[in-house]
Amino acid sequence: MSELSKAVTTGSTSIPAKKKRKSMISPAVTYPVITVVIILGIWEIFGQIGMIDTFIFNWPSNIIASIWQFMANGAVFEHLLTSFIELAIGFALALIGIPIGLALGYWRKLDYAFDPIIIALYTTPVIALTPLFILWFGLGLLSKIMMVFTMSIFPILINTTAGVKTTDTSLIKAARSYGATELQLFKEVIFPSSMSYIVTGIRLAIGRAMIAVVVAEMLASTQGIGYAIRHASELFKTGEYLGYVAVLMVISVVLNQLLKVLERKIAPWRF
Amino acid sequence: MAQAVPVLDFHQLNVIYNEGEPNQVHALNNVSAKVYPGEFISIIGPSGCGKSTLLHTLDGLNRPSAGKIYIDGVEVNGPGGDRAMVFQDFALMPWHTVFDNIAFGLRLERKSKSEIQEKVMHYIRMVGLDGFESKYPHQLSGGMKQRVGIARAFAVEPKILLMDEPFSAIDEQTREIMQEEVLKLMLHEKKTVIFITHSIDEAVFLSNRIFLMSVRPGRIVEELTIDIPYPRTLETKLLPEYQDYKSQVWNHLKGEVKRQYQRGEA
Ligand SMILES: Nc1ncnc2c1ncn2[C@@H]1O[C@H](COP(=O)(O)OP(=O)(O)OP(=O)(O)O)[C@@H](O)[C@H]1O
Ligand SMILES: [Mg+2]
Repeated sequence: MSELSKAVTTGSTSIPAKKKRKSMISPAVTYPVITVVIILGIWEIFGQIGMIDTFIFNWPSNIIASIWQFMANGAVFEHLLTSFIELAIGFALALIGIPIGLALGYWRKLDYAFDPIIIALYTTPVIALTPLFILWFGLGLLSKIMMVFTMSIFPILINTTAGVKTTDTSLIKAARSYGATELQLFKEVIFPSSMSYIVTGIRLAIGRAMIAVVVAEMLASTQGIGYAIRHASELFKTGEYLGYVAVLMVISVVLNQLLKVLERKIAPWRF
Repeated sequence: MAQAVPVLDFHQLNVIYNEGEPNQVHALNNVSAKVYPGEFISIIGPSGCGKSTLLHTLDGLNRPSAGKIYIDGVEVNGPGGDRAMVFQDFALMPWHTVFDNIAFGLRLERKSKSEIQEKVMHYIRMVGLDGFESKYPHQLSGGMKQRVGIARAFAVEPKILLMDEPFSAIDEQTREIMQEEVLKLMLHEKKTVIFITHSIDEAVFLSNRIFLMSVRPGRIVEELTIDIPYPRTLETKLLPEYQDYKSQVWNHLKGEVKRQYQRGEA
């Protein structure tokens, strides 16, 4: 019935709606684009009239030229590959936070026991440990992988635990009533119900993982996007420097948006 | 109605929550009854008297502190395929489609794909949800959600259906339609039903016996047999004896609610 009425209403309005859509893009898209274009334009003008000292800062057209250059000679892709490998391995290891979080959420006593430690480690700026990690794990990939791991495991773990704890008790009752074993309870109720929390945790963790990689590479490395940023800044190549930062920005925005879409796909009833 | 072997027999059930702690609650006090095959039993009583507790205990979700439950003469100590529950808040898995929700119990029992397909489609048709099998619960109305809950319970083909205020979250019109449908299903599928409700009208309309419960700690203080033959339709509600039964239940409830007030609990 409701299906039918929906079909009827969309059917009757579809012709005028389509005509309009040609000239009008959603304001959710046009408004932010306009804001950004205006800001970039003013910034560019300030640069062109000589108000910006390229020794300490730069303006859009120069930044774009630098980006074009390091894309053309492929330098950026080598740095990105290094950073990506560190990030991917460290992140894959941090996914161990999912089973740990499931266990902590399910067995309350385990949670009581470890909660203070986890909260302490999550809230202290672990990034301050980077020099120590470099002493322990060397100048190569390992120290970065370990930093990524340490930075990203906690949001994953904490969100997974929260997901388990917020599992609707009446769903657990229903599953038990229909004869679910402990294992089936996890598979059929607790895990799917925590899934969107887990993805949220992953989204938060990726932000922290990127910080970990960039900071560790800046401190001690000869490759990777963090190294490239530091290197350019040391040579006072501000255009190149800001170009790399822009690349990082674009990557993190895209990743973040993709994961938000995924969250919504996984749990449409939560949004 | 009374046949020799009760399908469900519970004996001296006691449930005490948080036993031995300061917040101890004595929810059920020596509750006993025998239920015969094909009976439709409603349980009615003041709020908080232990109706849900009793139903959950019969389902095996709660362990009674004392007492025994027999199904076809065999003692049971946990959930089983011979009983299935319909929940007040539907308790459907939001990540499953209508089909997969109805298949829930069958999948837990590791039934074959073809058997699941066949049974689920049968019960989808039975509750009138054909065409909705790939919808998600959040796309359905309350009445449709509870049809899914009912189909899920029927799909495991239990002997006994346990229903905890299944229609209380459903609007009045849909509710009347669903009451009639449940009666039809129950006669057609020959199920025994234990049904909790706050609605006197619903209890009298559906049941052949009504168990009236006291304030907490809950006991069954009275059993009322409704001598109106099935099938019942909305016309049944116009019979003079129907009104008599309703006022009998009402008088009892009034007494219990008064007692609750006097204890300062309501
Ligand atoms: N898990 C629990 N732990 C402690 N006390 C509980 C628990 N479940 C129920 N109770 C208490 O036991 C008593 C009976 O609760 P129950 O839910 O069985 O009542 P009910 O008759 O179903 O009430 P209602 O009509 O409001 O649904 C109540 O006082 C309730 O607070
Ligand atoms: Mg209740």
